[in-house]
Order: sequence, then C-alpha cells, then structure tokens
Amino acid sequence: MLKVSDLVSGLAIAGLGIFIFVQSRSFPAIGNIAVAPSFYPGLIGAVLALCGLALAGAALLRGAALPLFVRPAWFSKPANVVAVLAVPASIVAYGLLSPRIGFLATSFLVASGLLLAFRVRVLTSLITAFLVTVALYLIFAITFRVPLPYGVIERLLP
Amino acid sequence: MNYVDALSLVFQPHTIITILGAALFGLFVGSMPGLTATMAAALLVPITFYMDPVSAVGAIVTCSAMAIFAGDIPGALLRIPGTPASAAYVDEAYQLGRQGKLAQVLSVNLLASAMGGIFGALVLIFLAPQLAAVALNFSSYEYFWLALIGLSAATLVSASNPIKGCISLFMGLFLATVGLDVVTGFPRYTMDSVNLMGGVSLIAALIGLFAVAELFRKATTIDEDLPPPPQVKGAILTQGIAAIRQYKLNVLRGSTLGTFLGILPGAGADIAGWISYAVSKRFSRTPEKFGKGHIEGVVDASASNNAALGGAYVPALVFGIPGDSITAIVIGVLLIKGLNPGPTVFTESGDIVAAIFIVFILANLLLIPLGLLAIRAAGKVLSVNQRILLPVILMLSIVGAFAVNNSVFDLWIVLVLGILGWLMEDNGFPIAPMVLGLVLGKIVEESFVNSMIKSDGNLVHFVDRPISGTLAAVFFAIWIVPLIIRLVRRPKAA
Repeated sequence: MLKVSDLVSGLAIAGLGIFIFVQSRSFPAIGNIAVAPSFYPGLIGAVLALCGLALAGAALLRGAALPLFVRPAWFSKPANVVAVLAVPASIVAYGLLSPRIGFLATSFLVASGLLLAFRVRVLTSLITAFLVTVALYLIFAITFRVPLPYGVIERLLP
Repeated sequence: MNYVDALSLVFQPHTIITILGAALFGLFVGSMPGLTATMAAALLVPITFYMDPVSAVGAIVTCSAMAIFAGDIPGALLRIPGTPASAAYVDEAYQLGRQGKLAQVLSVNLLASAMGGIFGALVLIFLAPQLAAVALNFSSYEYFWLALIGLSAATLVSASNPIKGCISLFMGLFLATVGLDVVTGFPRYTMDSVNLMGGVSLIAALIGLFAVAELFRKATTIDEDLPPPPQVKGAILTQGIAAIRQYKLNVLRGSTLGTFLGILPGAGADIAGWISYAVSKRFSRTPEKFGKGHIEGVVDASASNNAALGGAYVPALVFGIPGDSITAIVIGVLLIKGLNPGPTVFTESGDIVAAIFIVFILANLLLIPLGLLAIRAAGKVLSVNQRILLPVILMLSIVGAFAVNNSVFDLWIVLVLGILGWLMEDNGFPIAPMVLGLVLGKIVEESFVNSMIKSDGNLVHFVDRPISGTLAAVFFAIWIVPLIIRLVRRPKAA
C-alpha cells in the first residue's frame, strides 16, 4: 500500500478526532442520566486528536516528516496494479449486480473477471468460476438455506 | 458444568463433520504462506453464523489449532512461515530441512504443537471455572477496569510504536460507538443511514480487516511464484518422538510459557513463538548451535504457540476480554449466538463451555493424524496456484459477508475496512487493537455508564471496592511504569 509519512497520517487522524469530538457536541443530553450520549465518543475523539498530533509532532521532531508519500513498488508493475484494483472492483460489482441479476450469474461473472485479472488463463478462469459459484451455492443456499439474491438463472432452476 | 451432557453435544454427527471440515480448512490455510490463522477464523465466521454454538466455536478452535501447526510446514520446506506464529524459528527449521532432517523437524513441530495445545487446554479447563467463580462477585466497576486493562495490554504489546497502537485501539472504540446509543437510543455517527443504526456489522468488519486487507497485500505480489517445495520422505513420527524425548523439559517449558502469554491480553501465539525461542536459546547448554539447524528451540516454540491458543480463551471466556485476535473473533461469535462471555456463561451455559473444552482436547488429538496427512500432502498443497486460490478466497469473503444480513451495505463495510486495514498495517498501525476496540467498545461504554448511573456520577465508587481499586492500580501501572522505566533509563544512556 501507499507508504504515508507519520506527519500526514498523524494530521489525518487528528482531523478525524476533531470531527468525532465536534459531532459528539451535537448529541442531546436526555433526562437525568449521569453520562450523556456525547461523553464517551467525545472522549474518544479527543484522545484520537491528541494521539494524531503526538504522532505528527514526533515525526517532525525526529526529522522524519519527509517524504510525505512513498510510491509503492507494485505501482510500477501493471499486472499487479490490475490485480490490486480487481479486489475492490469485484466487491463493488457483486454489490451492484447481485440484486439485479441474481447470485448465480453475478458470482460467475465476478469470479471470472477476478481470475482473469489475476492472470489465470481464460478456460481455467471460466471452469474455476463455474466450480466456485456452484460450491458457494451449495454451501450457502442449499446447506445453510440462505436466501441468496434471486435472478435470471435461479428462475430456470427447478 | 456437566461433562456427560457436553460429550453428547460434541459427539453429534454434524458437530464432528464440522470439526473435521474446519480442521482440513485450517491445515490448508495455515500451510499457505501469508494466510494467517486469524484470517482462517475470520473466513469461518459467516459460515458459523448458521451453526449451533458448539459447532461454531468448535470449528474456530479446531481451525486455529490446525492453522498454527500447519504454518510450520512451509517454514521448513520453503523458509516462508505459513502464519506469523511460525516466524520465530523458520530459519532453524529450514536449516534442519537442508541437512536432510525434514521429517524430523516437521514431526517435532507436530508432536510439540499437539502437546502444547493439550497443555494449554488443560490449564483452560482447570483455571477458567475457578476464576469464573471469583469473577461472579464482580460488578460493573470491576468490568470497566478489566476491559481497560485488556485494551491497554493489547495495545502496548502488539505495537512497536505505542502511539500507533493507541490510535488503532481508539479507531476500534470509535467504530463501536456507531449506531444507537446504549442508554438513550440516540443515533450516533450513523450519517442518517438506517443501515448503521444497528452499528458496524462485526462479521463484515472482521472479513474486511483480516481477509480482504490480506488479499490486497497478496495482490501486490501476484507476479511472484513460490519456489517448488521438496518432498518429505521416510517415516515421520519416529524421528520426532526421539527428539521430543530428548527435549521433554523444553516441551513443558514452552507449553507453560505459551499458556501464560496466551492468557495475557494482546500477547497471542505469534509473540509466544518469539519469546519461547529466545528463552530456549538463553537457557540452552548449546546456544551456539541455534540458527544453524538445531532442534531445541523449535521444540520450545512449537509447543508454545499452540499452548497460547488455549491460554487466550481463559480471559475470553471468564471476563469476555479476548487474549488475542482469534479470541476477539470468538467473542464476537458467542455474542452473535446470544451467549455473553463472562463468569455467568459458566453457570448459564455450562454444558456449552464444557463442550468447548472437550473440543479443545479433541482438536489437539486430531492434530496428530491430520497433521501427518498435511505433511504428506504438503508438496501438492504448496503447488496450488495462488492466482487461483486468492480469487476463490475473495469470493468466499464477499458471499459470506453478504449472506449474513443479505445486505449490500455490509459489502461497503468490508471494502472500506479492507482498504483501511491494508493502509494501516502497511504504515505500522497494528490491526489487532482496532478489532479488540470494536469488540470491547460497547462493554467498556456500558460498564462505564452503568457504573456512573449507580454511583450518581461519583467517580470515587470506581475505586472504593477492594478488587476494583486493585484493578484500577494495575491499569494505571500498565501505562505509568513503562514511562517511568523509560525516564529512569534515559539519563543513564546519555
């Protein structure tokens, strides 16, 4: 992954801490309760902000603030970039496609695409994607009776 | 706890089949370099969702015991630890393999792992109920301090940089606050999304942080192939038995140390392996042989990392405080099953706890025959194409995370936390404290709020009971003592 200087990550975390703290101030105190809903998250936000500032400050004191970002080695290898991008792409594709075209079609398409992105041969990818889809269907839909998304292929099943 | 009823719970056909399936899965994942025992447990969670509690926890117990042993196999064969728990003695094991002692080192790994695992399980069986009887007297004040001690120890042990450990922990605690407030029901940090009202799905978070983050990392090196593994030849067990006989005290020492380290929150099998190997070298009569292919340290560390697994269940079951990241997952599973880990689980669900204990012994006994099979099959398993394996694991992660709630939203949690976990770990932020924070966050807040309501806001009540006062002192000592040591040492160093 991208290597980030402690200065950048520290400041980002301090920002998150401040956001959590400020948001918590908008939570109402309800009734006579000794601890308002804002107390605990407010405390977490404050500690995160302090830790983030400490991390950034320590990086500055050590003289280790630069470089702010370091390009990872895999960035220069197109095949590895494709494989890395295929991971989020398949999660997004499954989330968007499965409610529309059903589990079986989505799983086969996503697994095929993923295997091809991982540089597996076309025929091997298609056969593996088919076997994975059938195995997942048997595990979740048949064994555990999970109602997986219903779609085009499921309608053809008995 | 009735062990006769517990036996009938364990020896159900579906439970035994589940345990055997989880064992094979654990051996496979543990044997694959880079895939950890924690990842194996996280991948099992969506499947255990549909099982009874004994099968669910039994699957995770068996799978993790098998994975920790199996991590030794690629270490000896390829000099690549299968799981981080085997990293301490990977060079030693590989050197032994190159000297033609592959069968000896793998059988020592196997036998010492099984013995260490049984030792850790026995300590768990005898110690946990005694501690639970004491813990029954605990009130919310004691639980508040215990949870803080658990979180602090985990943070300080797991991170090389305490600030980064602390940040990781508080990120986890923050994620646990998302959703409806425990007392007032007010929605916090939900961004007006109905999907976040119930909080961040624990299963989706575990899969994101432990499985998807790891898959991202493996994808960055997809162009690298594993070298072809050598074959293990000849009789396996006989060579190991001779070495174990010679170093029987090392087995005992590794097991004891591993169990103790497992009980400490935060120090799991990985750290147990490193410390036991170092202790073995320190007290060896032949320390000069270490690092050049000497079996002694392998005996200590192999027993230790498996013993730590049993030890980690002591605080997890007795106090609901996980000893390592695997027990953090187990606590999540128990909560999903409606069992509240803590002293009352021993009285309210004694049969289930006893059944979990039996599974521990059974898993370690099964380790020997199944481990032998894994050693024999190692050549074939390590030849599995990672480019095919990783997409298959990702598909299991996606469908598993989705199937639990049939919610597309859970997939977005998997994705966001997968990227966050990858980014954090590659920049020196440990993931384990974040998961502990996520699992324990609600317990910390609930016990704090309950205590504040009981005491009407008077903080003195947090420390005026003998046990709560002692626990508070321990908590402050954990944070202050290392600082004092550092301050005292600094002028001397200057």
